[in-house]
Amino acid sequence: MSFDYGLLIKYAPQLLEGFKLTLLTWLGGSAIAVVLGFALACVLAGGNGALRAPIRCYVEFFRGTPLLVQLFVAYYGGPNIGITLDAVTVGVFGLGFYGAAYFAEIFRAGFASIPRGQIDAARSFGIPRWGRVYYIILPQMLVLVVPPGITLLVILLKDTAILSIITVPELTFEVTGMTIETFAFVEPFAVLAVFYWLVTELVSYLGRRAELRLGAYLR
Amino acid sequence: MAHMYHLPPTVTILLIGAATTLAVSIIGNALGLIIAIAICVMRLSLNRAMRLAGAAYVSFFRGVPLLVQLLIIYYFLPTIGFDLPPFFAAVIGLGLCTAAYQAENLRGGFLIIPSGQAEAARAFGYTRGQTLRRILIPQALRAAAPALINEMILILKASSLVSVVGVADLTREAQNIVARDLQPIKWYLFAALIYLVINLILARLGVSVEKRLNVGYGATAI
Amino acid sequence: MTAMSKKQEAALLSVSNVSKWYGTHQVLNAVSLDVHRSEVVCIIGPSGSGKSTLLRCMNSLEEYQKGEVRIDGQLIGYTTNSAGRRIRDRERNIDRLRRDVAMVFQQFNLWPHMSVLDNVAQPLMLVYGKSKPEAHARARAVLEKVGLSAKIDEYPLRLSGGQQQRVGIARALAVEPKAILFDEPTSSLDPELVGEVLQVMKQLAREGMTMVIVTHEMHFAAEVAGRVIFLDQGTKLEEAPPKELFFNPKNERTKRFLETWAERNSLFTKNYAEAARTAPAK
Repeated sequence: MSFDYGLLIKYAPQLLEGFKLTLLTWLGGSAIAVVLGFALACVLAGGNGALRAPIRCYVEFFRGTPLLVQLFVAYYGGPNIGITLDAVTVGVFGLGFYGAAYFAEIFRAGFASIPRGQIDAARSFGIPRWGRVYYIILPQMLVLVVPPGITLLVILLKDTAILSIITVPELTFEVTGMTIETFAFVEPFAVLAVFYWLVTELVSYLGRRAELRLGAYLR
Repeated sequence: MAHMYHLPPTVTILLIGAATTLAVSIIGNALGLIIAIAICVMRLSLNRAMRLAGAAYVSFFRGVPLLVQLLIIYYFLPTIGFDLPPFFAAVIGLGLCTAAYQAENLRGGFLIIPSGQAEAARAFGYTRGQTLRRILIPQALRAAAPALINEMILILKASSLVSVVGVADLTREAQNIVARDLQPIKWYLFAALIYLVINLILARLGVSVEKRLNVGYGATAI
Repeated sequence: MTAMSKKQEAALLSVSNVSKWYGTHQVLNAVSLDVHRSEVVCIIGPSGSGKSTLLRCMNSLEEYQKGEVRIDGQLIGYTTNSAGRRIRDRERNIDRLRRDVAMVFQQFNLWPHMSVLDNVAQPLMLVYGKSKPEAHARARAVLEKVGLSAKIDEYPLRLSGGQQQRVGIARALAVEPKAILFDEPTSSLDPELVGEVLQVMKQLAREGMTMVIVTHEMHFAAEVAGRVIFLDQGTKLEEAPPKELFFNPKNERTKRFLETWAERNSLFTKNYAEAARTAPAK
């Protein structure tokens, strides 16, 4: 088990590129997931009743099936219906639609947690819907939504590794390539594991800090 | 098995793959639960080193992507002499990973138990081990049951990754069929549907198990 | 007839024959009520009689199937569509009319993530278009009026129930409404804290604010109301000035309701006096 850690230096450029792509797909996918998830939750919570059933189907599908299979459908199946996208795009949107289903549930629970009386009070003054959402609902919702939200963001970060299977050149993909060339398998993956561990711990820590700040008025 | 003659061979292959998926998930889940109980006990230990070790385990196996964990186990096992079929690497990998999450669920279960119960046991002279075994663990399991069933659903979805380390699960069989059949949307969606159906059944099961477990406890005092 | 219609024109809040059903269950049965400027009207009745529902219909927080509610002559909550049928009006129009009438809630319904000052200032800024300094100044003035100047930077969850309700009243006052609707304002309060809230409400009545109050506080109603309305199972059974309704009720149901209330209250007074008399000397 003599692994030349100097190899890491040699492969540094590729690994750095891989890390950049991990970040890119994570942030891109997360952004789509949060925005789309929020929009879906808004409709579920108060909007058009007719849209509720299709959105429920969407949520059930994307939460009930593995991300890998979803990516296969999009990446390998896309060309069959005329949509040929490159791996990164499929990866980002794949993560995004997948994450949106989970965020929709989180936001929906957040909306439901605001006591109805506070909305009544706002309505009784004639405060319009956008005012109620922005000034009354959202600030309070954040406290409830941030913990599971951060957890979900960390999950999405880890799931970027799955993107390597549809050839997105992120970090896991690059490390896999490295092991194939150097014939050393365990150590590079072990280092990769530690790296993910550190990053996810950091994100979780920041999340806990944010949660404390947001919930100050409750204590 | 006569009715299987009416199914096209591809669908049969997929169903066998689904059975493999279920097998890997259930065995992985069981293994995980056993490890989780151990980790949880470590985290409740009076020994600081044990507590830290337990916390480190949970932190590591929740912080590293499952795919990376599977790859490490898959390549690592042969080096220490275990030249086992991929199925075993997959089960071990899944088990170790899910143990971290289940340990957290169990810890939640422990925290709900009113402290008076352990006190009563100690008052009667139970040793710490006996208290754990007879009073605390059964109750923690009961309290954590919904979360654990939920975890089973998550394992089932995560198990799709074992296709990468060569296990002939539902995803891998779908890939094989697509390689020959060239109808990716049809077969991958069908595979997705099978996952979905199994998950819906599990969810329904979870609800009824939860109801069954709560019989005899009356109204929960909050 | 002319005198009546003249009076109806002058009514600030006018409820005409309002009926409401939840499915097949009728909660309001052709209730009519007129409230004029500077009048204080109290609505009493057993639980489930529809008192709160009626109040919430007045500012359109609840929908109703028959009848009309008018604020200063304007129909609120509904409009006729092109086919001549009545449909729910657009939120924007309803919101505009809601500005004339403010509400104080049983559960206070303050917004816990904002300070007391912000709670009072928020509607002013959002709905009445006041600038932040203006809104804050007005909020301070109103909070001083209800005696809470010391608490303006506190958060609602840190205040007592009585204080929270006084903030609720301040919030309603701040927007200078034509009328204030009170939905059982003291029912959620510890008995010791009820007094401070009633005090503020009495002050408002003295100053000529138009108030519609759903309440169980009979003493308060007797003291302050110009008229008392008794509601039971969605129907208005009696309406009269307090001296008449409380001491000479004409309706049988009203009598029984008041008798039960009096019994429970005098029972306490009687037993307390008894206990005080027979207690061992300290």
